[in-house]
Amino acid sequence: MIEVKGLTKTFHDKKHGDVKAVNHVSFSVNAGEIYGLLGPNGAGKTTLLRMLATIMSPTEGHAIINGCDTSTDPDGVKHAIGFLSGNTKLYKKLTPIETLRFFGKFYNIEKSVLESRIQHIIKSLDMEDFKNRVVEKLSTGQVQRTSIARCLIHDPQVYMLDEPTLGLDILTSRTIIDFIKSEKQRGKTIVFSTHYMEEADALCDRIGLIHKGVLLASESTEEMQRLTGKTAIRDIFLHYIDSGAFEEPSKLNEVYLGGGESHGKS
Amino acid sequence: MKLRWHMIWNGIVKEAMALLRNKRVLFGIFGPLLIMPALLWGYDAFSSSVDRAAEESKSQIAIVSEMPEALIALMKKREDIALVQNPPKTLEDQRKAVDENQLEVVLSIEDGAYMLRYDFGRSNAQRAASRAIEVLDAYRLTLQKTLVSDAGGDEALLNAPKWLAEDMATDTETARSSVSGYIPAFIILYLLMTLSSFAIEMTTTEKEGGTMETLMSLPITRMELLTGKLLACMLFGLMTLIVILGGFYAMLPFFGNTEIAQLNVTFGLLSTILLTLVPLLILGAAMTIATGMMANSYKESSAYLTPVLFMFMIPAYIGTIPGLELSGTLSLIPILNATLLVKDAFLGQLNWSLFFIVFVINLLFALMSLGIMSKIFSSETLIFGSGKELTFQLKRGKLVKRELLEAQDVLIVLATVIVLFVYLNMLLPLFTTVEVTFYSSQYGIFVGIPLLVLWYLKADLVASLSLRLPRVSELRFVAEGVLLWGVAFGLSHLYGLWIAPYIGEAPTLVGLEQQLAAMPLVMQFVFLALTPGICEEFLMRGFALKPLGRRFGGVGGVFITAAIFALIHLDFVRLVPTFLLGLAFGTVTWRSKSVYPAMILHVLNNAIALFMIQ
Amino acid sequence: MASHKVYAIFTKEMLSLFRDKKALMTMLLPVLIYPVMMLLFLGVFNMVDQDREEQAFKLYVNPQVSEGLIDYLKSDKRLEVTIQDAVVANIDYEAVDGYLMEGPKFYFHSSFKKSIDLGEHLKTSYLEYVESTRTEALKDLKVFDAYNGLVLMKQEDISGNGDSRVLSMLLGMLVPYMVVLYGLVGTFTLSSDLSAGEKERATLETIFSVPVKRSEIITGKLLACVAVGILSGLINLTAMFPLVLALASSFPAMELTVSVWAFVLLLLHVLPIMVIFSAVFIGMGMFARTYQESQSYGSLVMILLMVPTYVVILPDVQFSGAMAFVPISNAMLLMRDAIMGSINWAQTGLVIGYNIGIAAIAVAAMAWVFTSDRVIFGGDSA
Repeated sequence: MIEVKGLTKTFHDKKHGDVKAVNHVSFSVNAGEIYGLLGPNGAGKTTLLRMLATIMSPTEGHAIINGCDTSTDPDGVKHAIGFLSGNTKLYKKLTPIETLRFFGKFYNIEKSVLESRIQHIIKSLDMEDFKNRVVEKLSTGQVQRTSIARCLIHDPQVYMLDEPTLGLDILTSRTIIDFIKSEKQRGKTIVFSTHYMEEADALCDRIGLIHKGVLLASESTEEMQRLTGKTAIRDIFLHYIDSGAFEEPSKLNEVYLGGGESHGKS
Repeated sequence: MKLRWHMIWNGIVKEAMALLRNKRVLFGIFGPLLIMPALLWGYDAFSSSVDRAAEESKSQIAIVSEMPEALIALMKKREDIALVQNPPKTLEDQRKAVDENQLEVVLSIEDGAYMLRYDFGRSNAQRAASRAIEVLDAYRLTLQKTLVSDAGGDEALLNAPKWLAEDMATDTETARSSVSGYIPAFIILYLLMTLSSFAIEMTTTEKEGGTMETLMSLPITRMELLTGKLLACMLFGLMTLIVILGGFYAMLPFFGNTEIAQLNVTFGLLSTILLTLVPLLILGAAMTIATGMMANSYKESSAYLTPVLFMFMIPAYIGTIPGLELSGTLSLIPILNATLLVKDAFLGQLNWSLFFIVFVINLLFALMSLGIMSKIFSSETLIFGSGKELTFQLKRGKLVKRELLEAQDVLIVLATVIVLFVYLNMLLPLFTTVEVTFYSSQYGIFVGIPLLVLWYLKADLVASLSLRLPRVSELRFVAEGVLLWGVAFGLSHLYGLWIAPYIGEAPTLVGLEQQLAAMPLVMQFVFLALTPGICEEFLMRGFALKPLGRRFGGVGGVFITAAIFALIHLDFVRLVPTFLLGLAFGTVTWRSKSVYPAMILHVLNNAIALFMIQ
Repeated sequence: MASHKVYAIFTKEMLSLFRDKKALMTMLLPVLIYPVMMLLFLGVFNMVDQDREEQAFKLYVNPQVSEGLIDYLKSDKRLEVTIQDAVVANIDYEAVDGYLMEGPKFYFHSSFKKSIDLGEHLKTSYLEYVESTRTEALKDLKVFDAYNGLVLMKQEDISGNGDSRVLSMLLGMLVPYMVVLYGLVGTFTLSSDLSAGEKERATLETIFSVPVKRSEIITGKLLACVAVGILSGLINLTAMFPLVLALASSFPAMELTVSVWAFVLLLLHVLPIMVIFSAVFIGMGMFARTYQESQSYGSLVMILLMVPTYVVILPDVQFSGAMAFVPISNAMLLMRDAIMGSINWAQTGLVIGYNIGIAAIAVAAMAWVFTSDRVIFGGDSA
């Protein structure tokens, strides 16, 4: 479903020179999988997701999402994905229903189909009570649901969620987590970034560890536990950081092939 | 009320650091300094060159009737007139030619008169017409000379000596009066803009950034916090204004503006301007801080600031109307009065009585705004910006019963009462008699409004107004009071004798002399002694003293009420004696905890003064 | 470019604006205030003028001045004449308004308005005095009637209606100025919200993830800004209308003929100008990191953009070769001419075309800004 090939993003900063926010990242995601991008703040998760969602253009590399190439067919990619960024950035002065209509107009959906879909979404996400109230007057939970609704409007094949549970409490993050799970049930593919280690562990089929713009080859938790000899995901991550795998991408192969050797070091 | 000044100073320092590092705010304030002189110079240069080109342009004049040769010769002699060859003969064609800019004036002779036809709406046509008229005037003069000399008269008859006028103003005075047209309004408006930029940074931006909340968690009282912000705002506003004005003063001469160089800004001029600005500084800072506190975002704050800006802008602009001078009446209108006062300062025509009135009125408004500001700053809804609409707790049903009012409420009411009193005394005499005005302002405003406020806020009337008879044990205070009053009375009498030769024309609000003479003695007593005695004491020592004393201490309360009492009479000359009397009345009220002795003494005081006039 | 997408963006921007009560108030408040201000001004102006008509003056006159003139001045009720041989340097202009010496030479002080007024009054009086003595002499010579009949002059407006020409001139100066200036302010206010404001609220990211081209987004925002600018200008103009009517009614013989074409042209000229303004402000707004920042820097640019609009206030500036190449000013001058009744289609076409060209450049620059990731995401770390 998703093939990422050598995505790189270089920023030119006056003070620090050239900064590679994302450094030759490659990975793949199978259809119906939940793939987690796990890494600390500043790791490059947001930039990576933005490139995948064709919000930003990469300096090098490309990705193929649902058969569409991000560099040659960004529009096709946009039709195939639903993008949601953690801070639920919606237009304050529109009501949920207006928001849905507004975003819906950009996808090639017939007007009548759009309307019925909107009604369906409102019902299933329990938004009937506040669908006509402007966003700035809604509670966090209500805004959250509106964001999710917005994501669903065109029934995309792939969801890209950038730190969806950032700063949310247990109840509101449950809404998002339930959403992720139910979409996977429907056969959708989900890529999401987070720095909440346990959440990634619980939800994801496979996890890509990312730090300083470098992505380690992604495996399932069991695989990583086997390779590193650690159980808890945070220990696994710290192990990789300490081994210096993120500094030298070329060392990656060593880490995996020489799994036993790297134990002793660090 | 304790204010820990080292904490306030800390607050001011922090605001200073934040502002100095804020490139955006600095740019917004000093940016204009960089481009305005250049723009002004450019505009000036452009319009001068346009004027010059207009002067040098040739006016296209079409002569369409038979004209005397001599006239045509005169026309041809002028460098700036060009006679159109083969001009159109019909009006239609002439109109078209004018439209297409081929000619400007059509000159013909109709019914024995010279007719000039041109487009009134075009400036070049107006110029052409006035040039043609000049030639016609010169031609007429030659004819007149011939006529007179033919009749045997002396040509000199037609040459009357020319009117000469010499301006005795020095270069400095000329520069100053030219600048006085726009500088006062400019200063006031620029001051408001800088104050508002700073105020927004200290309030709205803090709220948005969440640092307001942190500040509130520190061991500093709200009043200390607010005082720090107010002082910082005023200080920076003033400093910025000085820097900007100084900058313009230094830079404009380089851009060809010779006027500014000749201004000769003296210390006297500067200090007068600064003094005038002080109450406006307080007013502006308080209003903008209050506005900033009400807003939850920068966008909101600029929406709320718009009406505040207009409130300052309109009177300031009206002050620029040429010919408008500061008078007794106009000195009562805030901001406008300051504009006119600064204008007078530039013209060297400052009247100190008027200066005093202007200062007091503006100070009163400043006090009112301080009260509003502190009220807003105490509202938690506003500080933590719940994002909901602004509501003050004003429904009487929801208010709690209380014994006394808060000092800040008293101050707001006092300032409002005084302003209303002054305005009423200006307006009512236009519609009705002096007596009606007087009684309604004394009873209606001095007594009525405080009563209304006390009732509405559910305060205990007797306690608030000290409406109790003094106990026997307190009678010695009453005796003390009488003594004090005697001393005050004597001193003010001496003061009056001493100052008599120095006072000039001091404008008084109500010309009572004529009315008094017409009244029977009893009515004179009621008018001059009884009513003011009761009403003024009711307000000052009844309504105001106790809450102020509770907040500022007995001495503070007496002092403040005496000061306001003195100021309210708006008479520079009698300022000191009134103040002394106020001290006496205040002391006896505070000590005896009763307002009645002061009332009686005041009535007595005025009665004696009345007696002395007879 | 899909027009329904552009329209969706445009609608969203307009909807957001009209639901923002405070922003609306900021835009509409001037509309309410300016007529009040104008009325106040006129009222005070008239009051001051009236006072000046009635004021009396104190005058020192040197005894050397001719008897006839002195008598003439004494008969003037507005003058309080004191015959005095004063020292010119010591005159206190607070006590007396001027000093007349023989010549005639009048000494005054320009810091005192009364002194200046006295000068004007005296000059008129002196000329009248000269007239009257001359009349006496001419009557003696029996040539008075002939003298008065020499070179009589009349002035008439070539269109036949002088008052309306003057009004046209005033309208020609005011109308373009107000529409463009208020358009500028309206555009500026909204533009910051559309660019820096969205950047601050991070809603740009969401819209970029949706199948819409950057050009469609830009067009929608631009249209919204232009619409608001034009609306702002028109609303303010309409607010002035009752005042203009009131003024016009005080001139009974007025028929104002402003052709319909003038209004059409007004709109045609204003459109490219609004596009230029919007493009500049939106583009600039994208460089700012916060709404506040874009307002601070933008207000300076606004001042700069106001400069070309002032050209229409100078009556002697005409549309000419050089002026044709100054954007905004060129249109303002043609608008003034159109209101005054002279429309040159060739010039109009050229100027509109030229301004459209400038607008295109501005829009291209704005488009470039929108495609630059660095500007939009402003150096955020990942």
